[in-house]
Order: sequence, then C-alpha cells, then structure tokens
Amino acid sequence: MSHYSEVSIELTDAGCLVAALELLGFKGKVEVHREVQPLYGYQGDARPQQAHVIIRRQHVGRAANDLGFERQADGKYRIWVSEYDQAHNGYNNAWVGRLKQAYGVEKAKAEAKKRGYRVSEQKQDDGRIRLVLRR
Amino acid sequence: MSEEIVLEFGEDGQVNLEGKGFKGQACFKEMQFLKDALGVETSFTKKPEFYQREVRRDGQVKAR
Repeated sequence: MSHYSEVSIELTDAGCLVAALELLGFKGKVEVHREVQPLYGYQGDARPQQAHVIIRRQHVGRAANDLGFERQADGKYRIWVSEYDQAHNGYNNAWVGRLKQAYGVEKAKAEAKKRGYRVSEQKQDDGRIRLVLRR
Repeated sequence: MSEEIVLEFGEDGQVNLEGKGFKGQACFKEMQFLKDALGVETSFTKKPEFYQREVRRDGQVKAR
C-alpha cells in the first residue's frame, strides 16, 4: 500500500531551527538560550516579547528589531517579527515559508538518518526541495 | 520494487510525502515518524494501487 500525505511544518527542534536560520544567511549570528531572554527594539528598548532563539537587530537589517523564536509549552516555537521588519526588511510570510522549508529538510534528514535511511537531496527549478529516502 | 519515501518541501512551509513500494500497513507505519517530526498532517490520499487486486499464484484473487 502506498499513499500521499501533506504536512504543515511546525518548528519544534532548536538544532534544526538554528541550522535553517544559518542556511538563510545567519551563520554565527543565532543566539540559543535555555531560558527566555528579552527582545530589543531598534532604539535599544526592551520589548515585552521574549524568546529562546534570537537574532539581534544589527544582523536583521536597517532600523530593525530583534527577531525571536519563543518555545511554547507544547514545544512549538512562536515567531516574533516586528511589523516593521515584515514590511521593510523582508521577514514576511514568504520568508517564514522559506525558513520552514529549510527547517523541514534538516529535520527530515536528521530523523531519516536515525532510522537508517540513505537520503538524497535535490533542489527543483521551482524552488521546491526534494528528498528521497531509501534503505 | 524497493521501498522509498519521497518528500517535496515547498517554499510555503508545506511538505508532500509519498510512500512507494510498501506492502500492507507498512507505508502508514513507516511514514508516521516523519509526520510526527515535521508537523501536522493536513491531508492524505490512498494511491490507486491501494484499490488494485492482487492475483496469487494459486489463481485466487486477493483484495489488498
């Protein structure tokens, strides 16, 4: 029996999240904290939002605010991006989609290798990434 | 046919999974770890071969 399945990707693995952020250009710029830390605005003001995984504003863009990922009680990361950075620095829904794509690829490769699968990866012309798992 | 799982990750944060070459319930079982690891399953479709009949050597027709 064979079947198709569609899954909406959720961020739950800090290691794969960091790897995905690095692939999107933040290599060496991602902070990971055991406890939540405050996020800061473009004027250095502490915001009410807090996060476990943080990219500080100087790495995000012009007049940017910190970018954060806060681990919720259910293990899923909530993404904190200011409205300004969504509108002016490109951290919009399309960026979140590309982040989830990179995260999903990293997570699937890690889990597949734990189960003894050989994994091949191919980037498609339309931007999709294809993984084939065999054993 | 060897067993394989094909995943296609879109730039919209969705991933499509396809199991190939599995027998019986193995496909559901084997793909579950990926679904659990990646997020929430939003849909699934049984492929046409799920409904095909298998002709055994003794001539009996066995529904899959």
